[in-house]
Amino acid sequence: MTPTSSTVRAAKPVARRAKIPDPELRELLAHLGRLLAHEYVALLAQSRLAESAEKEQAR
Amino acid sequence: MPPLTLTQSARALGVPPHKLIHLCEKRVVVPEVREARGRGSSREFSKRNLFEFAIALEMRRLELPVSYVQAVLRVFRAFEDEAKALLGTFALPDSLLVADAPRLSLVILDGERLYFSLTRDGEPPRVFGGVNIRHPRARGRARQHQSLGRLRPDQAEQALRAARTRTEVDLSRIAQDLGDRLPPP
Repeated sequence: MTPTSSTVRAAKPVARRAKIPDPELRELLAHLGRLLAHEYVALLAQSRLAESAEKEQAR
Repeated sequence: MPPLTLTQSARALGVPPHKLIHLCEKRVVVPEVREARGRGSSREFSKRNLFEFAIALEMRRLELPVSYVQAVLRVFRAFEDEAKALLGTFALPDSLLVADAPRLSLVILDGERLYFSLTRDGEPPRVFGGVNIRHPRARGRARQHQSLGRLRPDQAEQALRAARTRTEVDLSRIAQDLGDRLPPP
C-alpha cells in the first residue's frame, strides 16, 4: 500500500524554547527587541559616519 | 567556532554542568546544534547558546527568576533578527563587539520593570522599555504593562531616580568576557 500523509510517521519535533505564557508580554518583548535593534543600528551608523568624517578631516 | 559539548560549555563558562542542564531542561536555552536524544547522544551548543547561558547564569546569580531570563532572551532574539534584517549580517554575541558598537545593558527596576540601555562614550544612555515582567503567578490587572518606547532623558532619569532598587547587567561586557574565554576559531 502506498503510504499516504496519514500513514507517514511524523518526525520527532525539535525541542523548542518554553513559551512565555502571556501573549501580550511576548509581543511587547519582541517589539522591544525590534526597537532596540533600530536604535542600535542607527547609533552604529552615526559612530561610523563620525569616524569617517574625522579621517577625512585629518587628511 | 565548532560546536561545544555540555562539558566544554560548562568549562568555558566556569560553572558545573548541572547549571546548564537545568537551563536546558527548563527550555530557557535550547541547543542550536544538537539536542540530547537519549543514550549515546549529547547536547551540542553554538556560540549564541553560550551567550544565552552566560546571560542566564548572570541573571540567576542575581536570583532573578527564570521567567525574567526568558523575557530577556526573547528580546534578544527579536533584536538579533531585526538587526540582521537591517544590516544584512548580525550575529550574537560577536556583533556586539565590533568597533564603535554602543554598549548594551539590561536594567531591572524595583525587581519588575525591564529596560535596556544603549550607551556610547561621552553620551548619556538611551533607555528603552518599561515592560512589567512580574512573576507569572500575577494575573489580570495585577500585571500592567507600561507603554514601550525610547524614554526621553528626563523620563529615564525620573524612572531611575524613583526606583527603590536597580539591577543592571552589562550585556556587552558579558559578550566580551565570553569572547575572551572561548578558544579562537
